[in-house]
Amino acid sequence: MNWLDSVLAIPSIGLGLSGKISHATRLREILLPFIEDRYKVRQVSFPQHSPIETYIELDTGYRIKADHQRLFVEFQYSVTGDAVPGSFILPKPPERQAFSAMLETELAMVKDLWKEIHKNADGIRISFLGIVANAFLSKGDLPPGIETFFEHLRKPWPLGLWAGDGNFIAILDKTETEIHRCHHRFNAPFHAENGEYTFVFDYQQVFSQPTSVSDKQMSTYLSDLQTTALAYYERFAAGSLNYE
Amino acid sequence: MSELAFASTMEATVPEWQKQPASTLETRIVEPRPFDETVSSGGISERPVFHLMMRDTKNAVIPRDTQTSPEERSAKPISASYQPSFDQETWKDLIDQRQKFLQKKFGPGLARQEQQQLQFLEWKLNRLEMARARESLNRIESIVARQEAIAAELCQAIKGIQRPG
Repeated sequence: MNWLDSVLAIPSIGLGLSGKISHATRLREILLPFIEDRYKVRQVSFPQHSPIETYIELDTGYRIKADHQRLFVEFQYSVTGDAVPGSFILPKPPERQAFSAMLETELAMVKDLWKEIHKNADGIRISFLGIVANAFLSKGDLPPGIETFFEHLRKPWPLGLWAGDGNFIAILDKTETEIHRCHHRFNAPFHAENGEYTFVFDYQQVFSQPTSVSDKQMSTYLSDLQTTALAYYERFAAGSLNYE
Repeated sequence: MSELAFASTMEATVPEWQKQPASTLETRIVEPRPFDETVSSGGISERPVFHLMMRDTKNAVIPRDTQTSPEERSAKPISASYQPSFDQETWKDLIDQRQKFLQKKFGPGLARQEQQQLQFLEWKLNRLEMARARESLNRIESIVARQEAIAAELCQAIKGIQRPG
């Protein structure tokens, strides 16, 4: 069992694209009909502040964002509510889903989308692949490795830390053709008894050159990335990094 | 936030030695310095900055909380109520793994890495057991609710019987 299944955590998957503006409109032409046929679409929008971006929200809560730089699949819990007297809405907590189940769904979606893109526009190249885990934790629920990480940060200050807000990008593996790195973003209200800690892990496989990737290769890349990213998230939460 | 309001919110959380009259507190809330933001090829912002929300005042260290309001400080976050669904197989698997570590602990002893693994396993088990307890509590809660509904109906019926007499 991955530790992210035992807390409130939401996955997302991103593909970095080669960055040509013309690809953004091409992607829109390819993806819209495919997505409309395959999924139940709740909303499609082209944000005013970023007209080359296509933003598709599905009925299941998954969202697809595509522009010239990236293709991104994420999940968002939607809050529903019951009408109560006085025209008020009483919010109902959403039905929670396990992190790994949502991740599997997103992986299948990205593989499908990439198959369609590659079939219709094989000139679009990949600059990176990433798996993101957004974890929301309360003070008593922090896994031991995150406690160890915070203890490590506290060391220079004998009176402790009031709060922390950080962003680290660590290099985890490096070859001539690619780098594995992980963005760690966190917000930690150490002082607050009931504060919510947020921790975002963004594990990325970054290619030194934008690479042409077939749909079969993409499937392999994503499955391998899933294994390595989840293994790293486990190592981090177990406290198995070197803190000496 | 006014000085007085700020001082009163600090009252409950700041130790005695850190307290000082409200008049010496700075009213200025210092914003964190802007990030030196660069954008990577993938359009993901890279902000290799770590900043701490800790501010000094004139004479003593008074931590300033610019992130949470007093209301937020007293309310429990939604993540606090989240518990995974209980899965018997996962639980058994974790128990078996823990057993192996415990046997080694009381035998040849555990290496540092193994001690961490054991602690992590116990954290996972704890989360699962909380979920199991919650399921039992939910069952008890629904039984209590049913009993209470029956009791209310009975009271109503008894009142109805007693009234004519």
